[in-house]
Amino acid sequence: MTVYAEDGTISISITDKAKDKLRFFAQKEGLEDDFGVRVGVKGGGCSGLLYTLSVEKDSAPEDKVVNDGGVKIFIDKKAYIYLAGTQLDFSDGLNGKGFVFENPNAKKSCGCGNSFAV
Amino acid sequence: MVTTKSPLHDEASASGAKFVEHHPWPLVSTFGDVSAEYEAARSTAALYDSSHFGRLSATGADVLDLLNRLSTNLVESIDAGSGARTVLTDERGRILDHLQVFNMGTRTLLIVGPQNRERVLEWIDKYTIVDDVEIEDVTLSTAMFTILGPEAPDRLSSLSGEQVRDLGIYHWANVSIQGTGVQVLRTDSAGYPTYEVLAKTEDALALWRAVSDAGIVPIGTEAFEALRIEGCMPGPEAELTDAYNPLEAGLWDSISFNKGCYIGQEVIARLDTYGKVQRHLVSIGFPEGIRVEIGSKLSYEGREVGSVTSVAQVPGKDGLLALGYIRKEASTLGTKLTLVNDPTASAEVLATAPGPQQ
Repeated sequence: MTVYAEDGTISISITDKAKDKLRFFAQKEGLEDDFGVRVGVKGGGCSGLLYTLSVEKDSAPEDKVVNDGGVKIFIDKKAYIYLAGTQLDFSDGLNGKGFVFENPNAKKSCGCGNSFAV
Repeated sequence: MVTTKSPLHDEASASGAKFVEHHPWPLVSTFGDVSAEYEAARSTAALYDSSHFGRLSATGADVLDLLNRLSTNLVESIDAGSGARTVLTDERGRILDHLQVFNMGTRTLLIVGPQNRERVLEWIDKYTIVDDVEIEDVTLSTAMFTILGPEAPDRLSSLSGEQVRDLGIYHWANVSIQGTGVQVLRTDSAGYPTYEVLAKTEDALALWRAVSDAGIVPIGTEAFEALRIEGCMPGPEAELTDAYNPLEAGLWDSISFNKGCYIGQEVIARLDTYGKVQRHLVSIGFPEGIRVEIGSKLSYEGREVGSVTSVAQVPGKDGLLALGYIRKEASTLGTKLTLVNDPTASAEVLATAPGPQQ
């Protein structure tokens, strides 16, 4: 499902399975239900760009903030252009990859899926 | 101010030096006697104006972390006072630049190929998204001299203090040479003790005079290239280009295979793991009278196996000495090669760039 930010732009969505895992990690960090998921991008990785993911209590002034079914998502504005439309999923199981970004902007991804090129 | 010549150009010109065209400015090819210049580097100590190499000054909390994500070596943990060589590679694992990175405390110095300043700046800028990194091109406001040769540690320490003698490779120190504050970086290359001396542009001329007056012999690019090619060292614009990868160039000591991802890492790891490096950098000796130039194609048992990327006349030696990337089956020491356009011209592989075991 496409999620839109308050300003009407395409945003980032999180699957129910990924939300469960994010709540788990947020609780481990003592954030209980009051947390946001920070998704970002930085240079590096095999293909040029790397995803970053963390749970945080508060957003930063420059963030684009989205609410996806009760889970807040904080997106740095500089990273947004690389991430618009991305869905965050969780791949579990013995051979699972953990958190997985399904990014429609990525033209190429590296083998482990953590790095991409646009 | 736009500078189109080295800070030493006028002094060198007045002393009768010969120049060769190069970017970003003409380089001294020789100060008059190439053989004496070459011998000085081999037996005592030589002084080479490296100011045409690019110098970028980076500041910000994420500089080393970003460079670690963009290049082949482990640079995120470089302490203030030390440095490393690393290769900026593209997504295909090809060489964009073989740079030297030094942690200068309040900033990080990047020494890059003479024609790569803009390219490196643009590449790093492209991948600086949320990182705290600012980079300034300080090439024109600084000068850089290379001092190399077996007596370089003695000669330079007698000019600038014992601190220099104790510098380990890829360590640097602030010192003074006859009242001029400089940074001395130990960078050993081509098999010789080597230092880069960094100064402000306005101090360059006095510094050059002080060093040469102390008996360290000024050399031009002809002698420097002969030393580099003899040492089988890849050079900017010739061997360090995006036509090649760092493993072909023998840059194993600039690569960490266990530090994690960087741009091009998958390709380089695969080449290493499966032994897929297809060609190697070697030096090739030609007999006297054989005409060889950059681009000359070489063959082995009737098949073309590579081409010449650099060539020099080494003083005291007959014939020309070249560097070239040669297919692996023809790249071992002693292999006899011929020129494609002159099958009677015999050549021999005389040295190979370092391999993974060295």
